Amino acid sequence: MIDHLIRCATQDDADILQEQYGASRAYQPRVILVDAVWDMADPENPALVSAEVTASGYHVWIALDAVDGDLRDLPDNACRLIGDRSLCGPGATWQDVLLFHAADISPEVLSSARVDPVPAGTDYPWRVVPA
Amino acid sequence: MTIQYIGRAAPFALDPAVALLGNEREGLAIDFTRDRAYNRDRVTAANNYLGGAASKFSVSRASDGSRYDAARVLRTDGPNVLRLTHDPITGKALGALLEGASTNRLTMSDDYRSNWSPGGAGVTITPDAAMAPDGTMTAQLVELLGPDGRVSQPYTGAASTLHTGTLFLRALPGEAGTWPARLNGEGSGATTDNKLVAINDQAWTRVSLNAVSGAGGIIRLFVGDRRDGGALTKAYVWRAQIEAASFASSPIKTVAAAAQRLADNLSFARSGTPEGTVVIEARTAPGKVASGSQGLFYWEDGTVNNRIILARLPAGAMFMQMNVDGSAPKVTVLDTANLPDNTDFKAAMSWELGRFSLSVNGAPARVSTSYAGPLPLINSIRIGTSGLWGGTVARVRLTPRATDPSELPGLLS
Repeated sequence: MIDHLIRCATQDDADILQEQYGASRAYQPRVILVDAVWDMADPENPALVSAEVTASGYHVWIALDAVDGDLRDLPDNACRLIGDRSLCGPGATWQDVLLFHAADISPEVLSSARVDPVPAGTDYPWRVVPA
Repeated sequence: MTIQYIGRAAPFALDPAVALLGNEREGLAIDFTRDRAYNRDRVTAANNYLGGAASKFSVSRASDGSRYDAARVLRTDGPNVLRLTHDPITGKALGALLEGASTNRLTMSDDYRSNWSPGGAGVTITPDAAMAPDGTMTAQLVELLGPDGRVSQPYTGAASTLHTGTLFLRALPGEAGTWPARLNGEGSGATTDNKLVAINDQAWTRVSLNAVSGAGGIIRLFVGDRRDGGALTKAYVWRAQIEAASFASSPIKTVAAAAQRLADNLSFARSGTPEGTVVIEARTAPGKVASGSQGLFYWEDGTVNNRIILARLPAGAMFMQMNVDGSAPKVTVLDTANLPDNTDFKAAMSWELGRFSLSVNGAPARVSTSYAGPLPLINSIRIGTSGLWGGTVARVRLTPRATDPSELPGLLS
């Protein structure tokens, strides 16, 4: 199964794109660049030290049987990445599973960003720093 | 005593899908409980089919999904696999599980040593201490310490939103009693649901809790909270889950991140007929949706403008409805009885020019003759309506001829 992460400019655009593919193939995750930092001195009442940083735009995750060239070629780097989940597994890196990524995504971003939530059962190497 | 059959063949069991279609000269019968399907087409021989249901009617779902097998063990099906499930308590075959998208907002659903916060006198957690509902040694032994030991995980989502929290509980060998589980909304306007759950060592119990998040959107699941009392201080715990929903869906495993199970979309092409009858056996969802209907059977053209549907109203009653060349319904036939949640039932609907009828659970058919115009041009069937149904579908029987309303209840016997 081939996963496409698409960035939309507005919430309306994201809703329309998700509806186009349906709730069985598409959903809208957040893309988190930096996690929030909490002071866990009191574990039940953690104090927020710094808020999470999310990527700009509204993202739609679309899972298809094959690479969709139209999605890949959307303008303005809207297609953030395309991955093949069948290539994931223990020890897999983004180099192993990624079929495409936007030109403005650096290796540093790839090794630090994550989506939330992930599709159940997938194990993309989010937050895995290449050796 | 030995029984001998002389001069004729021994009795044999009809294929369940063939038996479901009965003496109809053409039509479609699907028995999801036995994974069999039969299509009889006397015009186009190539359309005839007798075989597996799951292999014939594939589902679209771009994620894993869980279901129970006949031994009541929780199994995981991969993407695009139709989930044929069983009752987790009785083992009864229920057929196709067709759910909407849902997210388990908690992380580390099966391991409470990290991402979970101890409180009060704390807890002792022993990983991989017993066999979990999925047959793996991943159940956690949780011991609540002192008078107020507890362990929880918060999730911050939308404010003032109803959430459902679930977890599996089982007592240690030789023990039985109550265990304190709690779902806490936090902040102004929040609600809390705390239960002393009766558990034993014989079977897993999946407890379901409902609470509304407060102004800050924080909701917190305590897999155990000694402040609420309870006879037991130790229990096996597994698969903690919070969903932003009014009722629990099937269990979703999470590890480092929240995980979404995408919707089950069971659809296939089939041209509509000028008249017809549909009979469905199904089980309602474990709860109702706050708004909109729970669609069970849609025969449509891909739009809302042309379709025949069978669905459940938020209050629980079943209805059939038909649209023709417009989004405003031309006909609605409403059954007045509200079906309870998580309940098996049978429904039959029939349509022809000028007459539309619906019978639920063998009650006399409700009939509408208010519309005498043309029927819609339709070409695609959705069962479970992209997961809006939220329950299971056991059997579907579709024939291209109308049934007299007086005979409709008889189809459900």
